[in-house]
Amino acid sequence: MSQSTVQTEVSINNTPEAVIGYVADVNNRLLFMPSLKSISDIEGEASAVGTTWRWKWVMLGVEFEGAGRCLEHMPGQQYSFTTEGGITSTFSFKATATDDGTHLAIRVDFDVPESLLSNLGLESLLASLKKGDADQAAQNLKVILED
Amino acid sequence: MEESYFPYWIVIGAITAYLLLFLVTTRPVSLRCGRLGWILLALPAARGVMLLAGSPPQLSIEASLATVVILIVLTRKWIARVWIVRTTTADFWEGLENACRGLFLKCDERTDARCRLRAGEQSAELMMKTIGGRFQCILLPPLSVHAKLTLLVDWLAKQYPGPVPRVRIILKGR
Repeated sequence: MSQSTVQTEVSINNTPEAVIGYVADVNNRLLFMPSLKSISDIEGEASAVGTTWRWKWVMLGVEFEGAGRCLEHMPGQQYSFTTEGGITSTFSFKATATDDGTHLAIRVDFDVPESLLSNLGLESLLASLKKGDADQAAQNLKVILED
Repeated sequence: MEESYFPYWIVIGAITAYLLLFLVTTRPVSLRCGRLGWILLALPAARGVMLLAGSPPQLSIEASLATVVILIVLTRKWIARVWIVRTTTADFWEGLENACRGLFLKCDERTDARCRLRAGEQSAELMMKTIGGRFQCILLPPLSVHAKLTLLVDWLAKQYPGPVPRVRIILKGR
């Protein structure tokens, strides 16, 4: 198993409570995560720890399916969830209050099976795609939450 | 003579296949006129290759293809905003209103045929015409009005993808 991490950050002119509250609601995720194609079968409250769901992700024209689970939700501070399956990822969102609103740090840790990497040589491509996705998600959150 | 028309048949075949996939699928999908425009541009491209390969110019063909190119270029921004979506009117509006709430976009003055989308001071109209019950012809708002409209259209593209099926990989839990 190979581990990689991508990180990004953004300043959002809104309160940390609003930012984390928005990110934590699983129903909103489709609106700001560019490669996430669908969320379904949500079991539990939309932003509660332990809530699970099914997801579809599109990468290079290929559709991946798996399950997701909320790991942590501290209102106004932190939220994280994991995607489980052949490619395991943990998405963490950490909000810090600033004079202008909120500094949001996004971190994605993901494991990819060695067999997939050695057969296809995808490690750097996958990291680049994940980084691009995280950057775009951060900018989308800024657009949504600032007006 | 037959050989010179071969590239055109390929393009016509591609368009026909795209339309047939849209018509026969039962999933909620969309047919985006902008994509048809791109496929059509393959016709003059194919003709250009044929001319470079030594095919003799024919005024009627060249004039027709030039007209196609000019029409697509002149109308490209408008064409890209026209989608035909396979869904019911009620399902479309219900989904759109939910997405607007998630994006903090106001969806005002709504009827079955249109609504006005407002983000801050800016607004733009989304229009819809029902075609035969299960198909809706949508005229999307211009994306330049506000970045949230781009996110709304991105969401629509996820809800109503193109008709060409994707390769699917289901990841099993460990």
